[in-house]
Amino acid sequence: MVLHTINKVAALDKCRGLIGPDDLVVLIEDGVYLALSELPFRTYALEDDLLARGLQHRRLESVISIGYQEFVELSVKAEKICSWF
Amino acid sequence: MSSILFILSGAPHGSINAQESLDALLMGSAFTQCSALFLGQGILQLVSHQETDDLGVKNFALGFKALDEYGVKRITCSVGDLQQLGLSTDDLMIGIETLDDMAMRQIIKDHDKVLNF
Repeated sequence: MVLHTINKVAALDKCRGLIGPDDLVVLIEDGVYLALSELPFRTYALEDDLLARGLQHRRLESVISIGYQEFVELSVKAEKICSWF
Repeated sequence: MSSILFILSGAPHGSINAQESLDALLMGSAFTQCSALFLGQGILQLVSHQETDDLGVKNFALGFKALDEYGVKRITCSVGDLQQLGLSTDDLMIGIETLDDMAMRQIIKDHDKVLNF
């Protein structure tokens, strides 16, 4: 499993085709705006970044809100991490 | 020994990023097995006949010709992105392996670490 972090909306264009069915996506910083639209991946978003942008209650239900603790746990579980920015 | 995949996705002369990423790739390959994947506008780094003299900046792209000597075995790019840019492999200064989405996911799997630039 590869963990992909996305930190801005435009960065999704770079990695869209590279995210496999076993992979997961963590939206961080301005990337959390992607939580407003349907994504074909297992998607998490950092709670602090959602809160700061007023998205905590606007995000799609399919996007799971996580804290730093869970972010670290997912990072440890992942075989490798790809940062898209 | 860890293998490293360098993903290069920025255009060459608008910022220092592309030059820095080539330096990192050359340095990394002196220590361990490295490969390169050019994505999106990163492919523009490899366009042949770049002339930067009048711009007053270093033509760092010439360094890509050294990748072979540094033992960078797999130099790859996204075939879809290449086509989207209106380019073919003939437009590029070095030979390159073109990969579809599936093959790109595989090359990420095949390396221990991935560094994005």
